[in-house]
Amino acid sequence: MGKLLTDSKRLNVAIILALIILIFSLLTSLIYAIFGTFMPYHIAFTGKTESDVSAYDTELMILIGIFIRLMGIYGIALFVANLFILLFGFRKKEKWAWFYYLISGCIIFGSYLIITFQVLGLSIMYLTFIVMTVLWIIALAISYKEFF
Amino acid sequence: MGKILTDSKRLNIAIILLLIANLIVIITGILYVIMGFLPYHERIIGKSPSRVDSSVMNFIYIIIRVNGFMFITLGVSGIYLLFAGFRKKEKWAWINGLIVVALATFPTTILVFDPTFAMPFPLTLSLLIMVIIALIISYKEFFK
Repeated sequence: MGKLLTDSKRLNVAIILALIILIFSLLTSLIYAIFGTFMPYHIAFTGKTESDVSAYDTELMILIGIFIRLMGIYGIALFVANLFILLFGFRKKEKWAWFYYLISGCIIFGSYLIITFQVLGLSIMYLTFIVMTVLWIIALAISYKEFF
Repeated sequence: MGKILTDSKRLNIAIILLLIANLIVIITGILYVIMGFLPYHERIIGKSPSRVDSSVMNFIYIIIRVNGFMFITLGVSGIYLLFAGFRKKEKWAWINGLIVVALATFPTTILVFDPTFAMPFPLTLSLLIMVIIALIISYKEFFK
């Protein structure tokens, strides 16, 4: 894989910012994939604990658990794909990699910020999403001239 | 991205299989985002959404939509990796495919396993088989 950083200062900052976002997404995904259960903010949103939902309908809680776990699993898979694109595309100043981060970031950050606000509100988790979105915008903006 | 196919028959079959698999993932993601709750979800819980507590149901709609957006992003990344790396016989693209199968497609198939072959198990199983075949038949093109 060679060394991680390049001879461009701007690109190096962008790579480091991207790595911070990736590590955050990996940690969050691991928690979801391993535990596959309600997080405290889920309980606050639904007003019910996992045992409340299970008592009402076991199948329903199994379905919810599967979806929470799948979010974690797909998050880990996305981490791997994004890491490969960072190392073998973005780091080598490939235009397609910059466009990929633009498109995937719009989908992921855009959807998270809009959809999860209902559940998270202005919690620390949601504010962390906002910080990650800002880091992503900075990474793309400062690296733009290196690609085009 | 240039032309889609290469001069290798094996690699072309692998590219087509992976392209179909990624398109299925994107279409499923779009369905999840638009509909939020599919008929097979209703069958699994054995009741209509109107009979489930509204806050719990809202939560389910949200996590299904988030999963949908993740499907779409995974499909997009898969197509980028397919054309930017896999088509050019880059080893890292093949290894990435293997890791994603091991981390996402295989566990998903296990999670949604259904002995009656009801949805979504046949879909995830087909995806798993398609990707494994694509990786096996293209192996020699990457690691000669």
